This record gives sequence, C-alpha cells and structure tokens, in this order.
Amino acid sequence: MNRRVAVTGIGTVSALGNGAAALIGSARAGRSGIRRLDTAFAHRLTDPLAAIADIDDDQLLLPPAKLRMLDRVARLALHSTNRALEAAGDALAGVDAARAGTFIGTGMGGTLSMDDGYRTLYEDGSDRIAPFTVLMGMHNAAASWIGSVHGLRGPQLTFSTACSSATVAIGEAWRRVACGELELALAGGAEAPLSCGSLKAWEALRTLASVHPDDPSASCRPFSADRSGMVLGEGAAVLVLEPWERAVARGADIVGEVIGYAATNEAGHVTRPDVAGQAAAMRAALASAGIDAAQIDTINAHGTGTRANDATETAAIREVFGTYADKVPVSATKSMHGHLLGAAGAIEAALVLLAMRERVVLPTMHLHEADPRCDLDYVPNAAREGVPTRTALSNSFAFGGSNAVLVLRGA
Amino acid sequence: MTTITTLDALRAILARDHALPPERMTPDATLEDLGIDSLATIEMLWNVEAEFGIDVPSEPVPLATLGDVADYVDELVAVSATAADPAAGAATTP
Repeated sequence: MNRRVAVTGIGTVSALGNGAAALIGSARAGRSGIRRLDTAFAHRLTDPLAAIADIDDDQLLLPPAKLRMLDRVARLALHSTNRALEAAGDALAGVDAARAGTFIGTGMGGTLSMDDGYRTLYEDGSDRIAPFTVLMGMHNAAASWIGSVHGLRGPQLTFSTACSSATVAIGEAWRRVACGELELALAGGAEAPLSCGSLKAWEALRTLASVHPDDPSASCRPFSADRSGMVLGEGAAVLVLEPWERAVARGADIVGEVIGYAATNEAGHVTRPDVAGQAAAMRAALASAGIDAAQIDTINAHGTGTRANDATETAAIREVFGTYADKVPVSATKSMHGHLLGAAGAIEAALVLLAMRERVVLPTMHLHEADPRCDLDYVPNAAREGVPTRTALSNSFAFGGSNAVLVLRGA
Repeated sequence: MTTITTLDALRAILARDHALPPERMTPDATLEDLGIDSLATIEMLWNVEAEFGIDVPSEPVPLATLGDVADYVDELVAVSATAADPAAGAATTP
C-alpha cells in the first residue's frame, strides 16, 4: 500500500450513547448498555436481553416522506455518518464526489422491516404488505442513504459477512484510499437486529446469554468461567477515511490511522471457531501492516462471551503472540455494547482508536473468575488510565468462517 | 358530491403524509407539482386501499392530477360496490 490513511472523524450511536465522546466515556467507565428487553414480544424469549440505542430521528432532518422509507438500520447508519462528518470538519469540501465511496457492513440489513412484513402476512393474515418493504429490507439501503444524502458518487458497497461485516467494510475502504483510487471513504457498519424473529433465531442457535439474576446489565461476560453467551445489540459506527496528507493539509483533527487489514476464510465448520483460522487472520493482518506481533500494544478481542469463541480466541492470540501474549492487554467491549453483529467491527474499531487517543485501555466487564482456558490479561472490570498504546488489533470472527482483522494506530 | 368527498379524503392522506397545504391540493394540481413521485404515488394508493376498502389493481394507470386520482378511486369504489352487490349494479345498467 502506498498511501497512509487517516481516520479524521468517528460517528456512532449505540447503547453506550451517541457520538464518540459518549461512547468512549461509557466504555472507560465500564458502563454496560445491556438491559432486560421490555418490548411487546419479550415474553416470547427465554432470556429477553438487548443493548438498545436511543436516537431522535428528527435530527436527521429528512422530510417525513423520505424518513418513512428508512428502516431503523439505515437511520442508525445515517445518525452515525452525520456525526462522523461533523467531527471530521469540512472533509467533503473540495472532494471529487466520484472518488468518494461508501462502505458499510451489515449482517441482517433491514430485518425489522422484513419481520413487520412477515407479521402482516402470517400473523395478521393480511396481504397488505407495506409498499416500501423491499426498499427498507434490502441490505444496501444503509449505504445507499448515506451516499445519497451526502452526495458521494464513488463505489457504494455493502459487505455482509455476518459478525465481521464492518471490519471488512473498513478494511476494503482502507485499501481503496491507500492505493489512490479514492480521496475519501465513509466506512463502518450498522445493525438493527432486535426483531422477534431475529432474536428467536439467535436463541434457537443457543448462542444468547442467560439473564444475570442480580444484574441484567452484567449478562454478557466474555472470558469468564460462568459466561453463557452473547447479547444482541443495535447501533452503528462510521469512520471518515482520507489520505494522511490531505488530512494534514486541511488541518483535520486526526484520530488515528488504519495501517493493516486482512480477511480470511476458515474453510472449516460453519460456527465452531478454529484456533488456526483465527491465528491466520491475525497474522495476515500483521503482515499487511508490515509489523511484528511484538509491536501490538493492545487487542480488541472478538470476545463474544460464548463458550466456544473466547477459549479459541485466547488460544489463537497465544499462537500468534507466543510468550508476548502475556504482556498484551485484551479488551472485550461486547460486555458493554453487546454484539452489534455486522456493526460490531466498526464500533470496536472506533473504541480502539478513541482509547489510544485518550491513553486508556478499555475493560472487559463482569469478569470475576476467568475460565482456566482463558488466561490472558483481559483488563478485568476497570479501565487502565494513563497507559500509552500506539498500535492495536481489532478482531472480528464470523459465523461462516469469514474472519477479518484490522491493525489500527493512534495519531 | 362523491368526487368532492373522495378528494377530501385524498387531501387528508396527503396532508398527513406529505404536509401539503390544502390550498395547493386542487383537483387540477398535478402530482408532480405536489412532489408526489412514483414511489409516493404507490404509497398513496396503498393508503387509499385501506381508506376506501378497495383493491387498487397493480396495472399502472395514468394519473396526472389529483382530480384524476379521485375519479379513478370513484371508479374502483363503484366496481367494488357492484362486485359486492351484483343486483345493485344490474339495476343501474341501462
């Protein structure tokens, strides 16, 4: 890769708050956004839990006739984009629109709208599906609205690789800016998966956490001996990527940079993670950045809180980092923002960059007794303040074996 | 009388969904001038189905003005009434 790529704006909405400051503020304080779900269908769920974003759609300043065409996933994406561009200053000024691209990851797209449609058909017994269901349900809707609202005319791409979607979106955007094809990219992910149908499907796969009897917000406990699974969350995060030199020239407030990325396939079991596969993804990302494992200061783990992932990821980190693994703090922030599926990689990349800027290492919450197979430094229960970190990995390992890893550097 | 009632119902739908002021929604106002594009027309007809208890056929019908829409809805309402009560339809046929 021939050009450095700066991150000059971060926008996000999630259960940890709206905007970069709220996100990092909540995470460094160890505040979990996970709650007991109290929607009308909550009684249908064995363990009604979720991490829900609070958004005010009036802030999107779209006419009601347009807003009605946007599924919640597109609204979350637009909220994040607007905030990212606001943070990036006049990033779009003077950009050749044809060389500005939109790269969004989403695992489930407009699943809420599809769920509404199915309810109309099968529960209400009506044939009157809402006329915009296709437009709201299609996976590329979020990227489409971002590109349209902000007038980007370069590639408008949607990546759907389950839980690594946003990591892939950011990585692929990085490549195109780095190679000189694009002058700017809006890259990230959005997910609004909290429909009855979606939650029941995840429940059927036996991957969801059980409700913590004393504190529902502590239900997702990555690397803990008593972890019981993941908690689905909704939200979005978008990064503004542009060539380093352009960012410097326009006096942008550079948050950090993307310096490496790899996407690999495990070619194994569809859900069971594989140590060699995860290790291969991390190694490939390091190689793409041209650095050694010993240059990594911190890792944002995939860290879902499932029995299978956390032990496998620990072993994979050990395989890549060797004895140095004991010296690298590993944070599993899904313990707070939940699993945003196709947006997870974006909110986690955002957290990594913000944490490096604020010289803090983020905690893995609700970790009081680690699984014996999980023996790394997970920064349990409290952030470490005043710790300088310069280079980080952000891991995303997906069902279907589509793994992706970003290498990020602080400014 | 029927046309005026239909037009009023259409005006109410469009005022609600597109915040259009009543004075602009004259019978000869074109949908284009009102900012009702092809997608908004589809949405409007979907709401019309519920409001008037009719099925709007999927074949496209040229609807240039609000008056055209009102006439078309009246036609569909009449067809629907005839289908529901064939005797009534037969009685009015010359």
